[in-house]
Amino acid sequence: MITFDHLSKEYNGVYAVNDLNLEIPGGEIFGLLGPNGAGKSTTILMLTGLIEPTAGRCLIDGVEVAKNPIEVKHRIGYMPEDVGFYTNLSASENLDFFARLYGLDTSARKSRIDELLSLVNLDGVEKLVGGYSKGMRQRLGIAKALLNDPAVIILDEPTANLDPQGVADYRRIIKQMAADGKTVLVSSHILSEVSLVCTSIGGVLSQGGKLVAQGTWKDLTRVLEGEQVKILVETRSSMPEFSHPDLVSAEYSNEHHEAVITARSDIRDDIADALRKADVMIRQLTLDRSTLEQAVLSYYNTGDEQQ
Amino acid sequence: MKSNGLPVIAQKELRDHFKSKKFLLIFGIFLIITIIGMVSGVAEYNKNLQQYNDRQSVADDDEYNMGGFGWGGKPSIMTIYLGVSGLIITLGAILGIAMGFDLISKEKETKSLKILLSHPIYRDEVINGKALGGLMALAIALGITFIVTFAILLISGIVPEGDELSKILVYGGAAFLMILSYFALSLFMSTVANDSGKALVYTLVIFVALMSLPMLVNGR
Repeated sequence: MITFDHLSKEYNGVYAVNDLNLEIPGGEIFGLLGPNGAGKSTTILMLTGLIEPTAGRCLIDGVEVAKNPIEVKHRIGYMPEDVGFYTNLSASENLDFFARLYGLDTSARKSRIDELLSLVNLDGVEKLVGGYSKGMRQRLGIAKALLNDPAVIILDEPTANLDPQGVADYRRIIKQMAADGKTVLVSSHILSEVSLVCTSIGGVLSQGGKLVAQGTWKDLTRVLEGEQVKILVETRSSMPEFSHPDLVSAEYSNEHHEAVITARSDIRDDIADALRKADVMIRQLTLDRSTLEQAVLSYYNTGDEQQ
Repeated sequence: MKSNGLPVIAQKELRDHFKSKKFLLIFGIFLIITIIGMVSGVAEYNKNLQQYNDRQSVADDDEYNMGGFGWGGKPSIMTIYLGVSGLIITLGAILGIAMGFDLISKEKETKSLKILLSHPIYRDEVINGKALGGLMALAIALGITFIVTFAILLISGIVPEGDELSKILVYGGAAFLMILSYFALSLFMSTVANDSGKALVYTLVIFVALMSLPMLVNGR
């Protein structure tokens, strides 16, 4: 379990992370979203003990990171965005070096490394890491993050360089980890990926490091869009203009055969009634839930305009 | 909770040095030039010893001999080592600098430092582990060099006496400390500089300044 308790980080009077309060229970895949400079990486660096917070604290399974960094590092697995390895060593040699830091004995190291290289499809690759593609390094990064069988897995842009097969493998691995009760924190710009993988909870950091929304990704979409829904209507004949207390706007097109209705609630039943009374045959009457990507982009654009 | 980062990093560094082409190349040149210098020094020593023996035999026949006064004493084995000291200082310093200038900065450049520090180790263990690994590599390299020089002496029929042996060991210790100082200096520069290029330039500037210092002092 990850806990952020009034966590803040300040650089020269500017907040990179500002009073972050969040709790991520075990078994969750949490997506940390936000534009560049929103404080995602700073949050992760504080969580991994690489930098210290200006105020507040973060805890892994109740252990405070800043006070017990070594204990916390035994419990976490971390893959940074630009994952770097020793280019003069092979994948298994790299993993063996990192595994020694956890105090694993020779046989435990060998079996764990073989298992993980097989998991990320790098078994049998004997060449030095210097000859690896970015995607192969990222696969190795995922294996490294799982080396100590951590309770908490922290991944920064995990699919940035992966091919489709790599992405599929990554999704499978991450979902299995969550099913095993591990906490997974994913920071990503690829919002569609977050909406697919982070089925449980999402979060958005704004410029200035404030958490602005939190919940399931469907909740998040609704919050960011301001609790509005879009309804797509298509009729066989021209439809009458529609009025309703919850109606926000209606755009009619194709000589009133189609309409996009924005409302504060799901008013499809009322629309259907109105059309039936007007003797208009309905071809389509569906709810258009925006994707997370659209919602977040819409939120960022609004934020930019406000600034 | 305990961290075992220091021995693990030191072992890796030691292995990396002996697998590094850069280290092996400079160490190879260092060893070859030292051997050439020693062979040449042994030849010079033998020549001086022959001259000394000749003078001794002449003096023995001369009833008014001066007891060696004004003719010079018996040549010392240390003259062989002092003959190669300039090479050892220069090449040894280059070896120390080459070993240390990119130890930390390369980790920053290849982004492996961040991943290393996310493991259960303290920051100082990274630097101390690298320093310890480098120290062991240098000790082995200089140990090999002195064993080879000692073998050259024995092959040439020169057997050092007790006090000469202790002087050779003191000389070896001083050479090791000098090379270690340059290694430590370049490791420090590697830690504070943003990249390996800058670390190398800063270290070379100090190296040139220190090498020029005796000349400046003697010139006064």
